[in-house]
Amino acid sequence: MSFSTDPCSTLNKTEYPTLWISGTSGIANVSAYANIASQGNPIKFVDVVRTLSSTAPGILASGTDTSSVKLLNYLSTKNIKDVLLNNGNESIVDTYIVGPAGLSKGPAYTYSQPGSPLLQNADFTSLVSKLVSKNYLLSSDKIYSASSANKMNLIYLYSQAKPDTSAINSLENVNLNFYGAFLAEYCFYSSRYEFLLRQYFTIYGTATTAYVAPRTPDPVFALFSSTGTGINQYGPTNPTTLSQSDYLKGLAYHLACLNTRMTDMRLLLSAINTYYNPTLLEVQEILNGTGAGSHGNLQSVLGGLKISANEANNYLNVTDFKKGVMEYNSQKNQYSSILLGLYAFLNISAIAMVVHLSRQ
Amino acid sequence: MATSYTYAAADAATVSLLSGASVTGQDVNSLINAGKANLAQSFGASLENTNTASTYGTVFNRNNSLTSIATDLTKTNNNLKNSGDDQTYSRQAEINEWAANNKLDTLFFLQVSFIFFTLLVVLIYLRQAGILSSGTMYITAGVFLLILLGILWNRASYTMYSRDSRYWNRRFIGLSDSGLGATPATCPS
Repeated sequence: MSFSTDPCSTLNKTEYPTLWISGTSGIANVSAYANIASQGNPIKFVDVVRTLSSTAPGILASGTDTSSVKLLNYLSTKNIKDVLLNNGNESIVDTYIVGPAGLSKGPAYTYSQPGSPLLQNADFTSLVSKLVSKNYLLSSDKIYSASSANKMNLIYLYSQAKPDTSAINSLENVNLNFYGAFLAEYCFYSSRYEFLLRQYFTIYGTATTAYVAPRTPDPVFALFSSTGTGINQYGPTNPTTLSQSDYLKGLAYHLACLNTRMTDMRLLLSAINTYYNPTLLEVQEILNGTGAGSHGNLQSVLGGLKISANEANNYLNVTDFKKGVMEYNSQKNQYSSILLGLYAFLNISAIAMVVHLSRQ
Repeated sequence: MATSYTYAAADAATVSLLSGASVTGQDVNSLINAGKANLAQSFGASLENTNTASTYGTVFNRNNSLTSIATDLTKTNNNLKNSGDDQTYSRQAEINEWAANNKLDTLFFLQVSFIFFTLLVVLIYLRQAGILSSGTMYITAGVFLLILLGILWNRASYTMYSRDSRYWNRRFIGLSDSGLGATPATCPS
């Protein structure tokens, strides 16, 4: 079963207010800006995770129904740092898109524009390869391998008469762990995006006459690097106040950055699907074929069983009939024996009568 | 108000909202909910795609288990067919049938002998009453005795020499009866 509503709603936002900030709207929540940006740059996921205690509470919100989704069931017993990549020291965006260990996009990774995305298809393919090589994702040969020498793959393990559940779990947990880490990081961006979007529409809907310009050191200035005309700078004419248009500009910049991260992460999911699909198709073809473990083989064996069952049933019917005939003949035999005894007695009586009359 | 980079921050619905006369909190909520649904769809689909491997594995396991069970049951059925129980019952039925008919044949002779002895009693009684002479009685009794012995010889010899040893009602037919008797090979001169 899959998620039917917001996957982020399953996360423990109460215990981690700095990781997944509240989506409540209103200017009163401007303190959240400190958790969104610093000097005009988006705050990194790994930096927030580092501030978390090593004995932090569970990743899921209390009361989350974990029975229907395998991932939630897996996450229900996990500490948040156990789930995150390299115990929270790495993240998909910060390490494998921006960082040198991954695509090395560096500070240029801000926001994509229509028609010119920052990440191309080849980047996602490379990204998946890096995640697989770091064992954050199962490699396709751990899903299925045609080589008989490779016995450490899910399909082989499952197909055994007595599956090694420990080995299966250790393999399955790799991807569950990754999807847990993915969810935590995606919701990190989406919670900020939702907050900023509400702020954006609030400022946008405020009449110019009613607008009260924030003054330094209002937390909203965290969205800007400094005064200037850059995309993450605010008007130099009055460096202590923030005009409505600059406010919206700053919000839009960070919305763009966050949306780019969210979009790219969703595209990463597509790339993961693309990576696994050939293997899954191969397994599906085997399953639909006629080899060992396939539907065709099972149907063939079941067909043979049906024929043999019919023959055995007929045989039992014939045997039952023959047994009945045998028992009937046995009774007939018994009846004949009784008649023999009777006539033997009658003959003896007749002989006795002959002897008796002969002596008279 | 919006600059070029803001469009990356918003989908078409957001842009549409921004171009409207007014924006309500409900509009923003529906926008955010659409984003959540978008994540739920792509995340759920990808998660399911990954879990497909486990599902296929489970199907393989189920197929193998069912195949193993079906193979064992087929062997059991075949062993049953080859058990020979039906032959045992058939043969025992034949034995019982033969024995029962043999007893009935014996019973037939005992019935005839009983009739003979009953007639003998009548003849003795008639002789003692003076109705029959001793000679007539002995001759008559002798004829009856010959008939009795003839019946005994007929039944016994047929059973011993002509009756099939397996099927009571079948006359034994030797190879010579069917013209298939072995003939000595004759070497060409």
